[in-house]
Amino acid sequence: MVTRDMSEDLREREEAMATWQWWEEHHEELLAQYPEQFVVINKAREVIASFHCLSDLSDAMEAKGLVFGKDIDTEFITDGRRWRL
Amino acid sequence: MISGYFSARWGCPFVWARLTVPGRPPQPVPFLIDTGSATSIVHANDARTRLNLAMSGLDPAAWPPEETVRRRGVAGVALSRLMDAAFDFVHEDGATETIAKTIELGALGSEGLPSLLGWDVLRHFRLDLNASRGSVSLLAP
Repeated sequence: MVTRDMSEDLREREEAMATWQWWEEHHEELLAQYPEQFVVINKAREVIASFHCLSDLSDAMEAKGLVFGKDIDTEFITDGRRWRL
Repeated sequence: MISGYFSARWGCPFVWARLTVPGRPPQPVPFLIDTGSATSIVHANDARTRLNLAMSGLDPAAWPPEETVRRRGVAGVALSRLMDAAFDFVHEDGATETIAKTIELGALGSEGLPSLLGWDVLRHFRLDLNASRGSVSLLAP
């Protein structure tokens, strides 16, 4: 076990978890609107784009100069309970 | 104790770890606790959008053969690339536990799948999963 100052790490983690929680809470409405798509939200958690494939999403965000995790967050919207991993 | 949660979206237990891979700063990643998997894997979506790995790095055609493995799962056969990684797990008391492993990077085609925490990492813990209460805990073995 390694113990060190993780205050900044914890802040980022808490922010990421809060965004994840937002995806969880809005899943049903997003699923109805964007099934099987990658949905992109900005820091204000507004949907700014959706894509059917990761390559298109990546190209579009790079063209706009947006950075994953910093400016935007994205999730693949699917009925995950029906998946078999 | 490290706490996780049951995802309403996936109906499965998840836990967050801060993941460090070569050449990239540490980033928080949600992992599905997969007791059916021997190894942990970061799938393409998390690799691109959380770890900020380049799309070209997810193409098996560019991977060295000695770092490429074929995995068979219930969904079929998939290629993945071996990758050194360090997991930072945060305990409830604020302490951090770091586990270094060679994990796998999922190829393009794995996008949309959550990243998986398999027994290569889970073996360091005792699992307490209670779906009826929605509680997920990774405890000292």
